[in-house]
Amino acid sequence: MSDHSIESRSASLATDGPKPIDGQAPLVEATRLVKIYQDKEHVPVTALNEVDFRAAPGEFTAIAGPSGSGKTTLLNLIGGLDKPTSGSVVVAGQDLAAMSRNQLATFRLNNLGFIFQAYNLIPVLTAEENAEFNLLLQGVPAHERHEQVVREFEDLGIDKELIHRRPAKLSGGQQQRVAIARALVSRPKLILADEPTANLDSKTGARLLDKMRNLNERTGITFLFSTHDPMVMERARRLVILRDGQIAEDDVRG
Amino acid sequence: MSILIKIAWRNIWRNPRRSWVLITALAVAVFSFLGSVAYIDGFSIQMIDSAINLQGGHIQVSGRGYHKNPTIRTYVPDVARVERIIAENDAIRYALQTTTPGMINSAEQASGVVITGVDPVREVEVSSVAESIIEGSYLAPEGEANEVVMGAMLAEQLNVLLGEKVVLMANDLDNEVGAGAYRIVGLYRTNSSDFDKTNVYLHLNQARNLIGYTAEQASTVTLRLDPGLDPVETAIHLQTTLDAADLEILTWHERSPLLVMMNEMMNLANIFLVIILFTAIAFTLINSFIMVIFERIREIGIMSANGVRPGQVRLMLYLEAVFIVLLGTAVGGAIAVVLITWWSAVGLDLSAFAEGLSSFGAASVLYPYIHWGHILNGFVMIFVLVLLAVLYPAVKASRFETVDAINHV
Amino acid sequence: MTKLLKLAWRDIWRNRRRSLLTMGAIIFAVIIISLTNSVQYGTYDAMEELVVRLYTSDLQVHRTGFQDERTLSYSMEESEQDWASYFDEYPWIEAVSKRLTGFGLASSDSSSAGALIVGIEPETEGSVSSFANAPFEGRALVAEDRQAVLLGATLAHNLNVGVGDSVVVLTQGYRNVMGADLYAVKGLVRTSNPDVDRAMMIMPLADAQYLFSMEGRFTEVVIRGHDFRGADSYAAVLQAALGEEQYEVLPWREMMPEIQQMRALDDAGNYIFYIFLVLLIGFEIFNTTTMSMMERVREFGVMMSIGMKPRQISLLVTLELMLKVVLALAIGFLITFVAVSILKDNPIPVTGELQELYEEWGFTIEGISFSARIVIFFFPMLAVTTVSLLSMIYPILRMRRFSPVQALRTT
Repeated sequence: MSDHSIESRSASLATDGPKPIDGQAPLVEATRLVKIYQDKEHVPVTALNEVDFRAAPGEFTAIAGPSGSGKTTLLNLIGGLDKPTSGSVVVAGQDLAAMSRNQLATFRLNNLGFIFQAYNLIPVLTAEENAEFNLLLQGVPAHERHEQVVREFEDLGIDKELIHRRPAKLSGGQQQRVAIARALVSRPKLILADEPTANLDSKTGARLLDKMRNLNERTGITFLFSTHDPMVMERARRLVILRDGQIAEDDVRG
Repeated sequence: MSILIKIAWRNIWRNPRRSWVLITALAVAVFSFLGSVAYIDGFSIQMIDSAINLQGGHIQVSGRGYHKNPTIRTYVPDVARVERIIAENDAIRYALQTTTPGMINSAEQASGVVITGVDPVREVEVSSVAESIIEGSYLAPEGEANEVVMGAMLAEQLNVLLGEKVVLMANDLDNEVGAGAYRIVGLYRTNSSDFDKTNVYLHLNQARNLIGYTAEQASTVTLRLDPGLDPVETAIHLQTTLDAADLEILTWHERSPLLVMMNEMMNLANIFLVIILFTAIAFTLINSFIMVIFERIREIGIMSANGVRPGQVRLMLYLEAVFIVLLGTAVGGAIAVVLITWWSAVGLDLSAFAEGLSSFGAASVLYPYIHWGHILNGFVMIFVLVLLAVLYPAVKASRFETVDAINHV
Repeated sequence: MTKLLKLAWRDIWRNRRRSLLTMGAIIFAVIIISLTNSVQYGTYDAMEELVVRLYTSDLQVHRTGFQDERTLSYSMEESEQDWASYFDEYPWIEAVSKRLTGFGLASSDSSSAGALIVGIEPETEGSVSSFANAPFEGRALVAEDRQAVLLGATLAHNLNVGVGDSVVVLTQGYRNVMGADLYAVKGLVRTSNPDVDRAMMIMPLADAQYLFSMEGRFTEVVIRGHDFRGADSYAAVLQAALGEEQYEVLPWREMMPEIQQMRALDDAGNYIFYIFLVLLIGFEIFNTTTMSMMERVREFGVMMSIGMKPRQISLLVTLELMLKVVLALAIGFLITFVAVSILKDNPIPVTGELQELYEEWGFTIEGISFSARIVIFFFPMLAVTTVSLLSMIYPILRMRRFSPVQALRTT
C-alpha cells in the first residue's frame, strides 16, 4: 500500500472522529489525552493534543503516522510507561493515573505485554530465560514455565537449539520472536508493540506479523501497534492515523 | 527473586576487568583489616596472658585494700580456711604467696625489687614463671635452703651469675629490716623486661621468715580456673562462700582496668580503620556503579516495562554489590587467613622496638591471633558500608523514567 | 601543549560527577593521611619535649659505661675537670647541673619500699629539669637543706608518710659500704610519669654523697642546650672534646630509646595503613580512567582521524588525570592545613582513664596535639602522585593499540 492511498482514504474519513464500539466494554479508554514534552532547549512540544481513543478486546489495531505524530507517545501512555500531562487512561477498567510506580509495574506484569523495536531482551539471560521472565516475576512454578515457553517457541518457530543462547548470539528476527514469546507467554490482555518490524527484513517482518495476527484470532489477545510500516497497516483490522498529535483517521476494516 | 540473583551474578561478569578491580580493591581492604585485627588481638592476648600468668591468675584473693596499697600489713587472715573453701571446687587450682617490696644487693650493685614467696609445688599451676626458667631450675619444694629465682635481665644488671649469692633486704611486720643471703638457683625470662627486672622469688617459708609472717598468713591466694569456668561468676560465688568482710576477691579485669580499656581502645581503632578503608572504596564503588547503571539503562527500562518494580531494580544492584563484596572478602580473607596462620606460627619479630613495647608490657615477638568475633563485627560493618555506597546508584537506577530508559541507546 | 591543557581541563568537567568522585577519593586519602601524620608529629613532638624537660634534660655526661651498668663505680670526681669553665666554652649550653643517683630501701614507721635516690644541686637543677621544682605539697629543696628529701607521691603513699614525717634510708654504697640515715620529708612531687612518682626520692647532692660515702663524686652531669632537638649534634661536639675513654655523652634520644621505638613502631603501622589506603585510591583511578577511555574510543578515533597522534592522546589523558590529582591534592592540603592550623594551638585534652592509660605506658602528654609542619604532607603527595601515574600505565598501553579505523568502528 502506498502513501498516496492512505492519504486518499483519510480524506474521506476525516470527519468521523473516534469510532464507537458497540456492545462491549472497551479494553482501552483514553480520554482527552494531552502530552506536552520539554525538548532539550526547554521549549514545550505538544505530542498529543486532546486525543480520545478506545480499543475493544480482541482488536488488532495499528496506530500509524509520520514520525513526531505522537503514535509512540500514545502507546507509552496506554502502557503506563509515561504519564499524560492531562486526560485519563483507563486500561482493563483501571485508571492508570491513580497508580503508583509499583502498582503500575504490577499492573503491567499482569495485564500487558510489550514488544519494542529492538534490543528487547536482557543480555545476560538466555532465550528461554528471557521468554519466561514475566512468568518468573509472577511466580509461576518451573515446570509450568518450561511447558509454556516450549509451547510458545514451537508456535513461533524458534529452533530448539537456540533456547540456551544469549541474545548476542541470536539474529534480529530470532530476538524479536523471543520478545514476542515473552509478551505472549503470560497471556496478557493487551500487547503493545512499538515498531516491532522496523529492524527486520521484510520477509521476516511479514512472517512475524502473520503469526501475531494468527495468535490474535486464535487467543483473542488485543494487539496495539505503533508503526509506519505498510506491512503492519495492511494486516491491521483497524488503522488509526495520527497527525500532529491528533487522530486524523480511524478506519475499521473487516 | 531468583531471577534477580541470576541477573546480578551474570552482570558481574559482563565487564570482568572492572569487576576484578573492584574485587581486588575489596580484597586489599579486607586483608588489611584482618591483618590489623589479628595484630591487635595478638597484642591483647599476650597482655591478658601475662596479666593472668604472671600477675595474679584469673582471680586473686587478698586482704581488703591490698590491691590499692600492697603492704605486708594487709594479709589474708586464717588462710587455711580460705584454702579449704577454694579447694572444694576441683576446677580451681590455687597457690599462696607473700609479697613485699625490698632491695636486692649484689657485691657491686643494688636495685629495688618485689620479693614474692611461693610454694613451688602449687605455684607452677598458677604462674608461668617456672616455665620461663632459661638457666638453672625452679625453687626446691622443701624450702630449707636459701634459694632465689630472678629474672635473667636483673642478674645481668646486678652482674651476678647462677649459683652466686645476693642479699635481699625487706622490712618485717615489726618494722625491723630483715636481710638474708640467697643463692641464685634459677634465672627466668618472660615477655616483659619490666617484669623480669623487678620480680624475685623465694620459697614461701623463707619469705615468711624474712617478713615475720606465721604459717597462717599470706599476702595473696592466686587462683587459676579451668577453661569453661567464668572468672566473674566464680569470683561472685567465692565472695558469698568465703563470706569475709576483710577479704578482697578480684578478677584480672578488676586488677587491670587499664588493660581492659586498652583493649577497647584498640578495637575502636579497628572500627575506624574499617570505616576509613571502606570510605575510600566507596568512591570507587559509586563511580563504577554509576557507570554500570548508565551502560544498562535500556535493559533496566525493558525490565521495568515488563513489570519489574523499582524496589526490585534496587535489589538487583544491591545483589551485584553483595556478590562483589563476597568475592572480595573471600579472596582477601583467604590470603589473610593463610598469612596470619603462618605469621602466628613463626611470630612477628618486633625486637627492634623491644624497649618501647615492654614499656607497656608487650613482648618483642608478636603472635597475631584470629578472633572470630571481632572479624565478624568487621564484616557486618563492611557490608553495611558497601550497601550505603551503592545506595545512590541503586536509587538512581530505580528512578529512571521507563520511557527515557527504553529510548536510550 | 597549552591547547592540550585547555582540552584536558574541559574534559574533566564534561563528566563532572565522575571527576568529582575521583577527586573526592584523593582528597579523602590526603586528609586522612595528613591528619594522622599531623597527630603523630604533634603528639610525639610534644611528648618528647615534656619528657626531656621532666628528667633527662637534653644531654648528660657520664663516666663511660654508666648508661649500661648504672652502678656507683662509674662515677666522676669534682676535681677531674674544671667543669664550670669547661662548659663556658660552649655558648649553646644554657644550664648545667650534677646528680648522684643510686638505689636504697626507704622505710617509715609502718612500711618500706625500694627507692631511686637522686641527689641534686637544688640551685641549678631547676634550670635543667622540672621534676624537683614544684612539689604539690610542701616546698622545693634549697641549697641550705640537709637531711631533707622530696618524695614521689606514690612512694610517699606506699610508705604512709607526709610532709614533716621522716624516713630512714638504707643503702649499699660505693665500694659496698652500707649507709643509713634519717631524712625529713620536705615535699611531695607528682609528675606525669608514674615510674618517677613510685620510686623517686630527691635529696641534696651533698646528702646523697654522704649516704653513699661518695664525697666529691657524682654520676651524671645534666646539660640543657639551646634547643633539645639539636641534642645529637651537641652531644657529638662534647664527646669529641671530652674523649670517649673517660666519658660518655648521651643525647636524650639514646637515654630513652623506648620513645623513639614507640614512635618508630607507630610510624611503621601508620605507613602500612597509608600504603593500603593509597592502593585503594589507585584502584579507583585505574577503574575510572580505564572505563572512561573505553567510553571515549570513538572520540579518540575522530581525533586520530583528524591527525592527532596516539602519543598526544595519551598525553591528553595523562594531563586530565594529573590536573585532577593536582587539584585534589591542593584541596586536600588546604583543608588539612586550615584544620591543623586551628588544632595546633588547641590540643584536644586527654582526660580520665585515657590519660591514666597513657601514663601507665609511661607517656607524658598534655593532649592530642597537632603539628602543622609541612612534612606531614610529603607522604600523601608522593604516594598519590606515584599511584596515579602507575595506574595510567595500562590504559595508555591499551590506547597505543588503537587505530583510527578500529576506534571509529567501535560504538
